[in-house]
Amino acid sequence: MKPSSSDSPVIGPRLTLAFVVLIALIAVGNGLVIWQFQSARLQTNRLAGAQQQLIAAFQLQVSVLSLHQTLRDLLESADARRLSAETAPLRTALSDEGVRIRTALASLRANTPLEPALLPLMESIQATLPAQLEAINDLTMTGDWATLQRRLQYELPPLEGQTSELVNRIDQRARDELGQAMARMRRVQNSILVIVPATAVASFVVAAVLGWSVLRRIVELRLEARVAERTRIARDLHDTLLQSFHGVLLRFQAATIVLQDRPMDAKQQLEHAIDEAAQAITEGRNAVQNLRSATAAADDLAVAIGTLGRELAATQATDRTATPPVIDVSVEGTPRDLHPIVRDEVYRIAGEAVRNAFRHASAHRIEVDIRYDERRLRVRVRDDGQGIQPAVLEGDRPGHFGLPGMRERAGVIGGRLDVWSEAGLGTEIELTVPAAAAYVRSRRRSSLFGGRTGTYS
Amino acid sequence: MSVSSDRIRILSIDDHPVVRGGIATLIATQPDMTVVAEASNGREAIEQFRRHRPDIGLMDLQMPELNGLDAIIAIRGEFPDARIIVLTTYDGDVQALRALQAGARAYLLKNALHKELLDTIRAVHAGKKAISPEMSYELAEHAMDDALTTAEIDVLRLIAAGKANKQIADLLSVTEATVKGRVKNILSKLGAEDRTHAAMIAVKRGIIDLWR
Repeated sequence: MKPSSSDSPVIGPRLTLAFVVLIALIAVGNGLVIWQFQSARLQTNRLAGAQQQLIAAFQLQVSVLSLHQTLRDLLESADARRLSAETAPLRTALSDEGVRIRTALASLRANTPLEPALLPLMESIQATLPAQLEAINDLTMTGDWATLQRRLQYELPPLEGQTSELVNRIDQRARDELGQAMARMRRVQNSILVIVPATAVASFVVAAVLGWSVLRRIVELRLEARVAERTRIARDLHDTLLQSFHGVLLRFQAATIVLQDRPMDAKQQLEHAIDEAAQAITEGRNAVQNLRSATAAADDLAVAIGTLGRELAATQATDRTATPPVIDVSVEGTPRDLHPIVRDEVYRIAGEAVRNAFRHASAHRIEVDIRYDERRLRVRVRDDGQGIQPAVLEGDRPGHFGLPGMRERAGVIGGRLDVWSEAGLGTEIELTVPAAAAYVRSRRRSSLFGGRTGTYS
Repeated sequence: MSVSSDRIRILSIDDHPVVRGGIATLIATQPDMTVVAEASNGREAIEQFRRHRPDIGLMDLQMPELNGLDAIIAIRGEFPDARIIVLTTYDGDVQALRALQAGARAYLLKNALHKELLDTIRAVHAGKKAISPEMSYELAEHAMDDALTTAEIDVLRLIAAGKANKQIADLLSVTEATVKGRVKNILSKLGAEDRTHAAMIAVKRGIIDLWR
């Protein structure tokens, strides 16, 4: 049982499903409401069209009837001069009315059904009227009032009839449209009354579930991380301090046993025990350093790694006779603010690589390359030492969190670790962390410090 | 290499060189015993056992590749009269019980090693069995306890890894109600107040091993 969080997807299928359902619910609910409004709007347009046609037809009827009434009145008076004087403005008025109606109908929406008889009737009125008036004028000149009266009697009623029939038809249609519109509106109203609360309630429920799941997942992840961290601490302590103490204790015991008979052997064993105790203190200090927020003091990765290199070099210079390797830390790209956890883990992984190079590689030179790319953070640690044994490269060397531990840590922060090593040719590790996981999004570091390449050694 | 036949021949198995070094030094002070070979994991232990047929094997439990318990079972399978002494940092009664059931002759805690190791080696070599006093209290304390079932131990292991009931149910392919029932049994058998307490007890008593 590995307490690593990389064996289960971080978000979880349930959470993803809830999120998708929520989005779908909101989209469908809004879509339905928009659809209802759209159909209501179409119905309103049809109704408005029918009403406009009705008004136009009424106006036409009123004009025709008033013209005919005037003609009849003039005939009653039998005054030829008045007749010819007054028919001209009537003609103009009727023609103006035609233009107005045509304009009104032209402004109707394209999908509004037009009463087919309306325009032809109007045209025929407009076409026949001047001729009629001309004929009436002629007849008044001759004074043949009887013929005139007969003619009007025959010619006017059909026109009036046609007009009134047209008005009736359009009126009927407008009534139908009104009825349909009322029914449709009622349906729309009912639908919206159902859809909106249903969408709201369902969205609220799903959102609540989603929020709750997110919260639970966060708690779970934090718990898992804490458990993993505690396990790691326990393992570190078991692997370093405890075992060293057991070993040292055994040597002390051996020394006390031989102290009387073989004091020189006892002295040698005590010296050995003292060396091991000193080594245990070093290991314990490293374990404690690993626990501490490693980069808290210096939030700059390069500075922290450079400092570690200096410390290691100083320790090695006093401990051993061999000259410690030279460490060179360089930064490429514009340094970005890193998430504190990522910063710590990157520091620990790179630090372990540097420590390995110091302790085991017999390297002369260690190069650390930190590159802040747009897409990723990349840290390379290269040494010119003796390389890593293939067995160590694969396996788990006790007493260190070693390469598998470094890989595991890289996985926890969403990054990956690549290792190249060949006997005698040195070792190179490369840690890459995607930008989304590595960088703090909002605050960019001032470009004043951008693009520097420095050496901290 | 001239090894007189009356010396107790010992195989020392521990993944920590410091501990092996200490054991070798301590044993070297005794005229009646000698370390004939060392191993740093369970697999090596089996190989070295075959090669040297030691009188006594000193076996650490937490080791990479193949742990001590599995190594004991494998060695006892091959050599039924192999005499193995367990050396461990932890005083969990369940872990000790498992080791003894697997055929270990003695169970020593590393913190008492410097006092007890030499006498224990002689006692086991003479055919006796031995347990650290501290260990015997632990064993007596829980001797009458109801043992956990394997299913319950699986649940306990996941609780200790910080998983919630639902996740445990998913991972073990059982219903959440089953998990809840098992958790209830675990709490009552261990006398734990809650899940965290149960996990702590489980680690302490060696019911579960957070190592691997």
